[in-house]
Amino acid sequence: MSKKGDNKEKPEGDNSGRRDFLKFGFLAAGITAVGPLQKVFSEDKDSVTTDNAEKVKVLTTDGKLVEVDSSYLKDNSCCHVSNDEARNGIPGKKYVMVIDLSRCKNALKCQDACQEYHLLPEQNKWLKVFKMQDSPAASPYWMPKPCLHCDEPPCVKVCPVDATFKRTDGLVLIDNERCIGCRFCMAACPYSTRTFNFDEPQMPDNAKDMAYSLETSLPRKKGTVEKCDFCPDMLRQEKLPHCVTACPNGVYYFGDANEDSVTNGDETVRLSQLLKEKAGYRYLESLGTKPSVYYLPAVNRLFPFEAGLENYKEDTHNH
Amino acid sequence: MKNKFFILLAKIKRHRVISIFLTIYAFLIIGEKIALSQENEESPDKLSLSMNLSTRLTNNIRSIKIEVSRKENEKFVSVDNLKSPFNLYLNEVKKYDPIEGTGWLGNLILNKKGEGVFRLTSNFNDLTANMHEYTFIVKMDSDPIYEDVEDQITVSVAKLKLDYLGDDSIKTATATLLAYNEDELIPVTDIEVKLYIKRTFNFLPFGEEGLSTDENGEVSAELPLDIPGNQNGTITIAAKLEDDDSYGTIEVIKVVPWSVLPFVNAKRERTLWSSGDNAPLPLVIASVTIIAFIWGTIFYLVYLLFKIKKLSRIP
Amino acid sequence: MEELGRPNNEKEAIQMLHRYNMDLLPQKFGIAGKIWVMLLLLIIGVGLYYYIQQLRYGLSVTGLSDTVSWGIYISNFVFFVAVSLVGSLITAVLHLLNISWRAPLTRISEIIAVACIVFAGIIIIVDMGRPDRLLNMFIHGRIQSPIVWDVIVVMTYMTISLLLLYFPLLPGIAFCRDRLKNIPKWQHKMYIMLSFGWQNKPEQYNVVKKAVTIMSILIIPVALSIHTVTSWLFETTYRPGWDSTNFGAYFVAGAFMVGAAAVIAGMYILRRFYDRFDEYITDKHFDRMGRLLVLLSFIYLYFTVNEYFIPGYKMKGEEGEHLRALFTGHYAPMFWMVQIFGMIIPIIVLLFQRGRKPLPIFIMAVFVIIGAWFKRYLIVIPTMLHPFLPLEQVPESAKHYAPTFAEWSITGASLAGALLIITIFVRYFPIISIWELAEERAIPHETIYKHLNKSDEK
Repeated sequence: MSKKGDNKEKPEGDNSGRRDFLKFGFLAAGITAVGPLQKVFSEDKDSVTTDNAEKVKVLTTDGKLVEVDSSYLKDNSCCHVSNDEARNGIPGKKYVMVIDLSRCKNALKCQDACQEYHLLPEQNKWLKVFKMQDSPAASPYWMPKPCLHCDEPPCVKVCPVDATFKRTDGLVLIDNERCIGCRFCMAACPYSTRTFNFDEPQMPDNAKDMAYSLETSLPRKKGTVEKCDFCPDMLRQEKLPHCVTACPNGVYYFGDANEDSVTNGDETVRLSQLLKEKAGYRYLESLGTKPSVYYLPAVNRLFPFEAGLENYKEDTHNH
Repeated sequence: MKNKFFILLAKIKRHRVISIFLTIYAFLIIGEKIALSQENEESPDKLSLSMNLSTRLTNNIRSIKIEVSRKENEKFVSVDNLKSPFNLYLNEVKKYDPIEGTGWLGNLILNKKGEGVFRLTSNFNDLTANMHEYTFIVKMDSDPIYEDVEDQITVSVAKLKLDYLGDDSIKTATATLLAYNEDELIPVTDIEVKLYIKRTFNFLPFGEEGLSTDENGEVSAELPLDIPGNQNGTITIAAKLEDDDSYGTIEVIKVVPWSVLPFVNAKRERTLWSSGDNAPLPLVIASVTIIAFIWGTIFYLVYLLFKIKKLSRIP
Repeated sequence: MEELGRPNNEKEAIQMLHRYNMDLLPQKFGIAGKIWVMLLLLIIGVGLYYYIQQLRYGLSVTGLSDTVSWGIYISNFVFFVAVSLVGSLITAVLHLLNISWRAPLTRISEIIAVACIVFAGIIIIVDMGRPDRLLNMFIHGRIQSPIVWDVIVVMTYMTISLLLLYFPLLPGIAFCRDRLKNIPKWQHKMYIMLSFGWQNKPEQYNVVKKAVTIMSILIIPVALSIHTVTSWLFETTYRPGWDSTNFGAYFVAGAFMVGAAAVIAGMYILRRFYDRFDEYITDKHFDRMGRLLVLLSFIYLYFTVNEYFIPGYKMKGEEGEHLRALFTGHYAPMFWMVQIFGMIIPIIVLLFQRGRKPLPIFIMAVFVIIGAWFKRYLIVIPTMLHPFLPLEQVPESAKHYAPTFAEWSITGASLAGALLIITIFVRYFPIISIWELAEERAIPHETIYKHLNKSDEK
């Protein structure tokens, strides 16, 4: 691959693009010409590309270009916002989740993705799948439960220091750099959503040294409360939360209520129609917390309840 | 060697896209592969890869996506640490030839998931205006860990148009699919083209399910009138021909005017779950009044304390 | 009190006053006192050691989990707040009602109140995951949060309690300043500083009396709110067992009861260790306090019936599960012990005149106090173990709660700390207010002013 080496040595012309791309560090490409350098995309400036990604221009030795889609090149650096800004929420959005109980078989792929992405240890789970049974004669079913991101969140009401807060886009987040660890929010949450870092959280070393971000909730902090955050860093990139994309059975629909649409990755439907047609409900509606998470009842199931039993553990390991 | 052959067969099967062109050359490639794998037998550490190519034409911009995976214990696993570049060629594996418009287009390194996308510039279409069919060849060689891998995909050129007609009572989108017959663009009939509204995370389909193009190459559907658009009074609609064997994916995305605005909830209300500086006024007034009254009295008591001290100095 | 008689003439009055002066001056501790202080210091030392461990390793040194996220630190906090209510009860209520036998009890109750409210504040900081961020409470405080209300009201109550202790203490400090000989220099200096230039002037007494009256009124709403707000920490949640409209009144009633018991215990101990105190804290005081305790226990019984047995009639959903755990389940032994020993037996014993003699009433008071501590344990912990969602996929340790030794020692240290404050106070300040006692015994004001004055002695 002599081209690669050569090209790296002698960048020419306006190489700001090249710098951009070198920043990501793992792409070293020499690109030959496809034609003379021309103004690109001028004819459809207003159009929206499918994946909404920025484009990185890869400059070559002779000043010609081909593009490489940047969303495949880099991590989340495009959409980082300051922690102050992160308190406001993503403008114009109102995120909702719909969980279709008829499709869940306790595969726990959602939980695995969540654990992996948020660097959570075994005993700390932000997303749980509960074995539920509404009455003795009724059949049990599997109920995944993330944070319900209530619109009138009891946890936020009681926080003494604004450490947990409600954003305009519907998310309830926690500022682990402000939390004083009083655990009132844990007592106030009726959904057992919140967990507490009783000791120094277990994390990979490189995660410990990161600058704290409200939107990734990383690095996790000792003596503070944490919970499912709907992956706001993904949402900012207009990508779905990790549990949604990880689910093999399309249990989770996620979307923007302001757009009246939710998607489970494969299927995109109107939120209002989905809730009407499948009799959506919210867990413990009578408490008046107005959750952002809806459930579709476990009727006409895709899998028998027993299919989920192999993954079912009543306990996790002790600390 | 047998394996290699089956993998290749599998590849051909997977990309039903691949044209006769590929089948003719297949045996030649097999020969090459056999040679390659013989080399590899000398360094048995190298792992074999399987590659999946797809093309997409979005608003006339073509991209080629590579997805690479590896089979381990009958399961596909992600490929990491793939540091060697993947090269993209048009029609022939050779240096770029500006006269023929064929040859090496560029290369890239895959991301952590083993994926990469080449996005060709818009002038690619102009430069290749005389071609009605492309064969893209992607090749990776000289990796220390993985075996060399090569795959190709052939697509025919087609054009998809999206028209929107809207008045107060009815709003219709029409997609038209045209393809080359000799050098002439003619309608493509009986192919499923879907119509969508662009939403944040995905495309929301509208109109009847499973609509196929008619004799004019057209598909049309009414938009739901109550669906919220974008903040700026527009809505983004799209027409898509998805994963077609000869044309790949073709999509047209278009912004059109729309009157239903989304509900915006940016208002910061004074509620019990607002931030501290946005507390409900009655609560603020009540607590400030009570605190002021009680602490006022406490300060008066402290004043009395000092009065006692002062009294001691009076004879 | 009649048996002590009232002075018939000024000479008698002066004699009485002199006797009070002799009897009620703070005294050096004997062996028992020293052992007691050493014991308290030892408990505090162990607690401090474990608190340092907790600072280092976080709350993982406790038995707390994501399920039971509030444990005995919080129940101990509620206990402290409850006991501290007594300051307002004895001083303010008895003062405003002009109860004629209150004088020897006021200071005991005030110092109990101050010690307990100080340690209520400390124990809540101990419970915090990030005590280093305490200041956030003031920088980012949210008035919507009951914790902020609690912080405000605890600080307010602490201030008023301190003032309520301090104002009537001024003559006492001045008295120590002038009368105590052969004391270390620092002690004398402390008296000079704290006496704030007290000269036994009638005008000064008038100011004190005015201040005490203001405070007696002011402290009642503050004291009621401190315990009501503490109940709101629980009541503002949805959890079965806490989601009750009865809680504020229930907490206040319980606080009055345990506070009265704490004063009785204090009275008894003082009388045991100070020879001539039985002349001031008489059997009649015990009898009266016993009657008060019975009354307060009946009120508490009434609220207990409302709080547990009426919801128990319905056994509604999760609430029912919680109540079953209390009535017949895991917590039944503790629940019934608390009801029987902490309430029923004291009520029965104290209904009889013989039960209101010092020793039985002291034992009953101790029952009530211990019962009250465990009552608060029962308020906090079983509820945390009955969330709406099943207790699944949690570590086995999160399905139960057992306080660790570290938790017990820190909690023990806080109790010992409160007792130490009281002990130190008794050691250096007159625990019975001489001038108030003299007033109560109808010694003329002029005599008090004159004979409490240092110039008189010389």
